[in-house]
Amino acid sequence: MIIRAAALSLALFATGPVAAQPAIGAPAPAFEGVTSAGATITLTDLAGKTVVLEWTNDGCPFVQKHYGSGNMQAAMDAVTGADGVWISVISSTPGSQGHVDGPTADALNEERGAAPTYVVLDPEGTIGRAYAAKTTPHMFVIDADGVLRYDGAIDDRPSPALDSLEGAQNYVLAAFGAVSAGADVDPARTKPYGCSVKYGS
Amino acid sequence: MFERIASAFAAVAGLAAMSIAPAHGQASDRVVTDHANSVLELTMDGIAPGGSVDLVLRQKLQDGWHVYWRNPGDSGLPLELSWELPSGFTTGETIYPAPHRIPVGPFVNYGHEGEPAFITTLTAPADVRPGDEVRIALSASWLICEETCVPEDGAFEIVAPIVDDPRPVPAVIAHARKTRDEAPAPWSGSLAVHAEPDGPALVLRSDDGVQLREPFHFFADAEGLTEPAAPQTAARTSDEAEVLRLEGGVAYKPEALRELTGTLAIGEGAARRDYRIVAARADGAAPAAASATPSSAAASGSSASSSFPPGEASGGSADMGVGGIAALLAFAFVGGAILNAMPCVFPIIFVKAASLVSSAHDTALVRRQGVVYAAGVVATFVALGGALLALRAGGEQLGWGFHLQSPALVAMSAALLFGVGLNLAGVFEVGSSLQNVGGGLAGRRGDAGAFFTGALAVFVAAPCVGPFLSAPLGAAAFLPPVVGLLIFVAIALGLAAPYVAISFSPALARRLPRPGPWMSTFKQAMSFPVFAASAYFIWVLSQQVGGEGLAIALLGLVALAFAAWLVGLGQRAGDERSGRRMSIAAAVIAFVAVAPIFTLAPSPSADGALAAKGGYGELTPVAFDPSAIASARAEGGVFVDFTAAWCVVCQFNKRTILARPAVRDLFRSHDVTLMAADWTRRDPAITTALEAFGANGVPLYVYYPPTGAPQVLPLPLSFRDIESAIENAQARTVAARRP
Repeated sequence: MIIRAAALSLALFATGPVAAQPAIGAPAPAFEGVTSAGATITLTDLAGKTVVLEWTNDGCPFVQKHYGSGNMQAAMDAVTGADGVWISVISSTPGSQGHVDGPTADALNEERGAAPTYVVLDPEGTIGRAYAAKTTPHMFVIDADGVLRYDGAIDDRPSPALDSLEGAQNYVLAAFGAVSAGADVDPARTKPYGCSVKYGS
Repeated sequence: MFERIASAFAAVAGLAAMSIAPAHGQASDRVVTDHANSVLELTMDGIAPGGSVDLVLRQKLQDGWHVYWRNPGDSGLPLELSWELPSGFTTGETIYPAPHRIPVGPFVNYGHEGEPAFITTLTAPADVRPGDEVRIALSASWLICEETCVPEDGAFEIVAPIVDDPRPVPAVIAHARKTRDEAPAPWSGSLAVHAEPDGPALVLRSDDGVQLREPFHFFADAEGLTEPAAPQTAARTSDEAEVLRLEGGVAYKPEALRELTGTLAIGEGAARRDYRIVAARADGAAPAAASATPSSAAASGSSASSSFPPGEASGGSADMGVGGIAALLAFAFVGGAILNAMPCVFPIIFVKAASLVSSAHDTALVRRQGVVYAAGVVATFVALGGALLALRAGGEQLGWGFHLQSPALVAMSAALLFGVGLNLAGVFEVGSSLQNVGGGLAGRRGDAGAFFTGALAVFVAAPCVGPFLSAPLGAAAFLPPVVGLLIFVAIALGLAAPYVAISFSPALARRLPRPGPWMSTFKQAMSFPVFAASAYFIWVLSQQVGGEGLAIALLGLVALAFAAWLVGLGQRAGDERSGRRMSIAAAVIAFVAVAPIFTLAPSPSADGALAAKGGYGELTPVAFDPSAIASARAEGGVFVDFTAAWCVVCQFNKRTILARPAVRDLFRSHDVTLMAADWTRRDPAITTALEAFGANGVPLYVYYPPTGAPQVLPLPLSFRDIESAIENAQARTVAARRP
């Protein structure tokens, strides 16, 4: 019993800080970000549009699956074509995999035929931590009122293998469609899969 | 750069692969990928019709890289195995090595580093024919990450003969051993999970006295059910259960929770013990955490902990922290008070008794000396505790009792007690001359004596600090220094409390007999328990320094006695000048006598093992060797006695329990190896081992069963506990080995 009391009080000192997951149905964390073109955008500026956030890292095999197959580009086109905003966020800390400067980010997208509305460079990881973005890819859908509606994986196939895309259910497109139609998003939260986001310490 | 390193690794790995020719029939070819070198092996040299054999996928990972457990945590992917088996053959569930937390930025993954071995049991149908061969093929894919991640895969193939009587392949069994050894032990006791709004709350009751001792971590089997990076808080309920609160992950839905399964790891490093947790859902809210203390702590903030609202782990934990610390301090105080009942402190009780009777009828003086005595206890305890914490902060591997590991301090303790004994025996007086006993004590000069007695109490009590104070002392070593010092203060106050209480008791003065000549006889009689305590320290010293060191110390005591006699002569002379001269001569002699004591160093030839090895009756222990435990436990397990010559409790337990013929018979009939970890002298390896069990001092008794997690035996030690620990563990092992 004495030992339990000791263990109990010890346990309390062993807890570290942890990023809190943003809540579905609540206002999405506000952010201000610098784009690959050097412009500053805020989430507030985008009010009135449905916004998709995509955490990315071009060196990550899971990201490569979605770009190499054209799957991510197709999703972007579907969103931007329906008056949505697609923001690719790069939170890799300088020196880590996926960290790029603005021109390189744009060149990458040109090379792979991807056309997000913006690429936001987040080398400090500020936006990534605010959203508790864990993996690349990790996807969020925010509705026109700035409310977070989806948080999680791009689809239901946690695998880096190309052939896993066949028959995959794309959660992001489903969420975007539901938000556009004024319907409930289901699932609204899934476990994201992929490489860890390369945050600095 | 990265590519170059990778290809260099692959080349080295390739060379290594070539130099080890695969054993035909039992192993696949090696698969060398950029960051891993993998092979599939069979634990037997063939498969019997209807029999089972283990398939071991063993990977040697590049340094710094990891693969993932079945629940990979915040990112990553588990190993994926796809078997191609002859018809009728089946495979069981894959056994993963014990998961480890791998922090990635603000998140946490669960995985494996080094050389993980994944075990899958293959069962053959009964109708295969001996003499035939079967082909077992595996295509495996895994994600391997350092900072970056790389998906890798490999195809493995084994052609194995069907034989009537397959023989085990020891090398492969050895490869699989770590995974087997680390496999979680079944939980004995009850388990339930409550679906709290913020996450699952696991309620545990252990039949084996298993406690959630920091560090612990619950690894949920299912991905996303819990947040791997979130704090996990444990609390005790009023009815002896423990509640482990977990933060729900993305897949957590309170209404849909049916059960919670996973691995509960308690401790770390070699002392980590894993338990298999399968908890069915219980309705309603988890029991609220209660005050972790008996009613004695009610005054110190337990209301904060008992009102701990379910589901508000973060808000509640701060309250629990205060309550937990208050509880710990209360235990420290009670433990300190109990110390007074231990034989170590008896000499002090006699000293205090002698001083009480001489001043009992001066209430104010008695009270004053009570307080000064308490101050002496607290100051000395805090000084020793502070020294311990400071040395630990400086990186020294020390635990409570560290000063007793220093021969010089042990010899000093012996000399001090000897001096006190001489004083009580009437050889010399302190702070007064013989002519005015009582008169001198009435002044402030008595304060120094009281304070000194308090200091002495701490030194003589140290060898008896054990069963009741191991938790607070362990906590003191690991908590923030301020809390650690508070714990020392609480123990000291507890130690001083009974005497202070007596000092303030008005009934006392009435009960004590009137002063008279009988008092000096009483004082003289009191000297003998104090001499006995001195003799004990001399025996401890003999364990540390051997015969020569012992001679130095004993000659020192003789010189000290001579010095004391000189002082007494001077005091009796009644002539101030010659008295002073005698005192100076005595001081010189005492210094010359005591100085060599500080040169005493642990002697390797002293072989403190005498204390450790002797006294076990017919059992002969082997010396503690952490690396030998793994091999020695395979037979019937290993029983480790963490002991020290200066630890009275350890010696008592050894002679009264471990030396019993029943223990000898129990150990022999179960093939249990007895290991003695002798902490009489400093030994960082033993300190580390103690810490792994959350202890910071001796005694500690640990049983390592042949498989599964080591068990700490409850204190006070009892034969029944030893017997049930060994018999239960071996019953489980036998059950586990049965196919």
